[in-house]
Amino acid sequence: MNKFLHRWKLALFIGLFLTTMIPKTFAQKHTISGYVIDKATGEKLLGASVYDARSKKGALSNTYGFFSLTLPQDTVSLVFSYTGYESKTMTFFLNEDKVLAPELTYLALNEVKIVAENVERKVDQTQMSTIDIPLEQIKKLPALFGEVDVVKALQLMPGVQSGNEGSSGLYVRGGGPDQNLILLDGVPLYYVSHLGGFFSVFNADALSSVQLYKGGFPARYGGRLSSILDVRMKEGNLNEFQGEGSVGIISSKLSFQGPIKKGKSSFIISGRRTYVDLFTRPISRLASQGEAAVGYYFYDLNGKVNYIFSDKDRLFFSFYLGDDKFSGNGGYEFEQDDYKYEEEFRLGLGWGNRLGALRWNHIWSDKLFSNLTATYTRYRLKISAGGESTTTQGDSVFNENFGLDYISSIQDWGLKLDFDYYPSPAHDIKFGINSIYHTFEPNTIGFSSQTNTGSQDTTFQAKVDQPLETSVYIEDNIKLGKRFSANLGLHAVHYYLDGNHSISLQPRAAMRIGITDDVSFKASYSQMNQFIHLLTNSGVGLPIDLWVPATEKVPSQNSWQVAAGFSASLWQDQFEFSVEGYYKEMEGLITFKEGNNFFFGGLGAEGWESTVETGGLGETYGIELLLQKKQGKTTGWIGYTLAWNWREFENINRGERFPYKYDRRHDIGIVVSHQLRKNINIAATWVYGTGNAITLPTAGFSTIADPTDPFSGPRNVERPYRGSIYQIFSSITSFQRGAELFENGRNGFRMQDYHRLDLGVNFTKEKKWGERTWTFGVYNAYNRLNPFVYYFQSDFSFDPNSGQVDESKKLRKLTLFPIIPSISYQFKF
Amino acid sequence: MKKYRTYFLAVMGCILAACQTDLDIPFPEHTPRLVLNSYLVEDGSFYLYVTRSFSALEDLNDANDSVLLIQDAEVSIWSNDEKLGEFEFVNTPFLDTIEYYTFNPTTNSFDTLQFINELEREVFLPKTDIGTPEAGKTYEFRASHPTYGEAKASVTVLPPPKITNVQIVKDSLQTQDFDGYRDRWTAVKITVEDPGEFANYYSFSVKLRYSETFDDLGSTFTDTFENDVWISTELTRDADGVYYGNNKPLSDLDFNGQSSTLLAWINLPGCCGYASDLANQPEREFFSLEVGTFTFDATMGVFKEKHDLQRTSRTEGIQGAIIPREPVSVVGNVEGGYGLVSSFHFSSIKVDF
Repeated sequence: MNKFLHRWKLALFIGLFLTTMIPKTFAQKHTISGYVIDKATGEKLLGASVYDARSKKGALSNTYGFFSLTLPQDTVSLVFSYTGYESKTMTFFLNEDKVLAPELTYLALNEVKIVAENVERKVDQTQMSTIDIPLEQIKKLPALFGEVDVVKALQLMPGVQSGNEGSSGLYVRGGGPDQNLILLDGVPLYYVSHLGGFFSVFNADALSSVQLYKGGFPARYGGRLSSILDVRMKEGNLNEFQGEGSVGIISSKLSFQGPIKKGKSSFIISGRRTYVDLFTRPISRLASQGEAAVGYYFYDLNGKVNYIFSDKDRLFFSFYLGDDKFSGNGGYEFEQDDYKYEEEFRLGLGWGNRLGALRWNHIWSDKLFSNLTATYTRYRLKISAGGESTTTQGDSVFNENFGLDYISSIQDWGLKLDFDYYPSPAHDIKFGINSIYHTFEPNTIGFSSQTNTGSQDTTFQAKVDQPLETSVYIEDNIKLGKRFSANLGLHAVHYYLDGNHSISLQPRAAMRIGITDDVSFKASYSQMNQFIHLLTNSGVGLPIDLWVPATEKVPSQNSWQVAAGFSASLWQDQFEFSVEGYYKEMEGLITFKEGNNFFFGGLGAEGWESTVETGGLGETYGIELLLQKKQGKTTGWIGYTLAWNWREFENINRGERFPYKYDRRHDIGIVVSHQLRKNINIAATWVYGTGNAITLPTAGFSTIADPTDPFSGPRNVERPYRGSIYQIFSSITSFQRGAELFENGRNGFRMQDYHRLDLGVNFTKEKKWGERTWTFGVYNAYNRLNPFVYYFQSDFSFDPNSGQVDESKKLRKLTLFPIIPSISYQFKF
Repeated sequence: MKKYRTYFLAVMGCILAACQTDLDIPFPEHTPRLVLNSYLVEDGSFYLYVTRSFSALEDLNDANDSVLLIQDAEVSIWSNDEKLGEFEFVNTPFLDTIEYYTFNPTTNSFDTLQFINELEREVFLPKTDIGTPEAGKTYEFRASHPTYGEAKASVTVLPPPKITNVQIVKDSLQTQDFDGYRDRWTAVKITVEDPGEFANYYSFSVKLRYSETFDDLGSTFTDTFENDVWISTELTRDADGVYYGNNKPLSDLDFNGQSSTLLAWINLPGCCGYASDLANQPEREFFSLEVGTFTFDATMGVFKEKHDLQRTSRTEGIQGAIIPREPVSVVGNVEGGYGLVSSFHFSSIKVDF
């Protein structure tokens, strides 16, 4: 109760503070507003800087490209700038409100020009704990199979870890993979991995920006504990048709964009498909001598159209659909005399996302902007198996068909209304409401059988939960003078399921104090809440993770995080340096009970709630250092993380806290990209991470047979045990090694450290029809055999002299990716 | 073109095969400690099985588990801090009698056949006569060894379970449909009277005696069987509550010193999987059910549950590593060592169909 009152007091305080901070009058001031636009494509630039060099005041365009800056009546010298673009200056006398649409020219990175000055530097931003890597830079990094991946590029940054080898899972500041809110055009995506996690669903060619928040979360975001990954799709070129694509070892992709009505409406469509199945089907058919064939592929399709109704109204529709398909089939025949048996079977495993967003941007005034979005997202996993058999004996024929389908899905319908209000240069107020209607269908299993004599169809379905989650938020980005800025906000959530209401109030605060022009101190505090859980323990990136809602028995997860650090801009802004320390506590975590996993327990008809341990605690803290160079011929960064990550559950590890699986003491990422010549770029990445924490039985002890077991226990239960031990010992003379001992406790064993060097080189050439780039890469250049999993393997040998079978048991590791060269061909036209 | 295809496939096969590489890696050393195991039964014998723990990588084989056996430990038993006696290692052969039942059509009853098996007993037994375990009394085993250190464990002996009634529910011997499987089931009611002063667990086992008559090569044969059958559905209590199924132990909390009647559904022969064709099953006659009831202490209850779970959830090799089940920790009650020293009792009631 005290905690509840405390939160209300805090909310009230923030509300009053925001109110008092808003100036009541704006005499002799005028507002300049509009969109900052890419000159070539007509697309809006998100996060572009608008800066008045005379008054030293500025603003950033919001996530929809809109900006608003109110300045005193005077001559203004506005500098519009954006990373990678040539800045543009407009000088005029401001004596009335103005709407502008400054167009900036893109500087191809290989032109090696110094990018614009006055781009708002990290050191000047209130927001801390963020990562944004230009997509053009990501595209030049070496990658597994040459397949550029946005998520894997983020994993090279401090505070962000991958899971296992090649995994595209995100583990941010000690959080789990379920604690990341991954938004594509503002719509949550629940599963972002392809091919067992080796690739993410994001096709870099279709994206315009990627930003990751690790902490200091602005109040407009909520719903997950550990990170927000905000990915925006391109809108489509309003001026001319444009295409790009690539052909690689395992996949190809193609994007096409252009105006539907020049200057008014545009589209972009982007697709990607792998062709692993083209190899695996013939190989598996050869290996099984024609009896079986297995295939796998995935595809992504991104699309977007937008229409400019007026200067004040724009409409967007974006969609994404992607699927992974694994399939196998085979057959078996047996014939003897007049008896013949024929069988055919098939197996299918598919998972994928569907996402759609209809967005309406409206400018109410030069100070008020709104965005209304209707959203739909669905993630579904489907496993199917089936077959037919025919038995023939003489004239008698017996046919049987059977089928099994397993489906698990989560589906959200949502409506979101966001406002940006710019009352003065000192305030940027955002507020809004978001409502999501979830539908969780964790387990639906259907059996069907049909024979000569009859048929049967049976479907079992676990409880379908349909919670309604509604959140409201308000935040104010406040600038007080040149040296101090703050972002204060409140995020509140109401959650309703099965007659139960839950309310969560989450205050957020971030501040920046400029120590010098180039050095600032930043600190933040944020509370987060999460009303959904992910049942997972594989860590391999399989799609069998199960999303489930918070319920009465399994309440929501909560966290609070503080972070503080310094940010500096060095050597005439050539380098950015930041050091951040953070401390985060989590509660309400869940994990599978001992002995369970998705297949054993997770699918239980009695419901998933009985298979999980609840009320888990998490504690994670660490320091992150980042030195980044964004300009010049040589760019890149060095990131280092020192971190600790703990979990605690009442019924696990005897109630004692234990390291989280991805507790990684040291994590290093070094990225270097160098423009050797105008048309040749080389890049290298090196990563190092402390080995994953795993649980291994290091010893064992003997047990005697369980007397209550009707099979291995005493055989003769009719006789009383009174006075006799023989019945007990009769079944233990060959007693087993019995129980395994986990001497180091849960996750008390460390895998070998992980490190890897990737190299890449890009050769670009202008052609008559456009531009082509050959990319050659080497993944794991020095062939480090990094461990993927550890497992015990027994080798048995028979001693003919003693007649004994000797067992030699060894711990082995599996390495997934040795040195792998790659080549890809990219083109733009 | 065909040549290129073959070459291409061979190259792809090599690439895929190269993805798997396994290597030996170093493993932490284990310091062995004493392992004590014993189940005490009221009016039974005192004994203690003493072994040592072993590294997960220790080379053992199916015949020389005796390397784990400890023969030179000092073992004693205590009660209320009073030494009752000392134990010594005994290694003598004994004959184990295994009994089978067969239906005799002539007498229309079961004959008992015996099978004698010679085994070795390698256990610590009292040097002197110290009587038999008494229900309600607490005993403590203490063991020490020059290499493996000291260990001790205590146990309170349980009284026998009180089964006041076992009854086959009328009209339940028919085809039921649990979980989509067209099996044959019968329902059994078991009434248990729980002694409130003991924190004991319960487990039930069932033996079924029946005969099968079938045609083969134009002749009719009848075989008789006695099988252990699983309690495959959840045990439910008459009034309320749902209990564990699948022969899992039932906690004392489920009984709480009261008389409780449980309903168990027993899976009978006559099924062979999903949607089996009952019409083609051999003709069966069911004779009797024998319901055995174990009671055991809470230490053993938890140990048994965890140990069963650990055994069943363990998947050897690479498959278990890639799709692992959460590790299960098995904790006994031996201070300074490992193992389980606990108490159980058993009684059974046979009912005819």
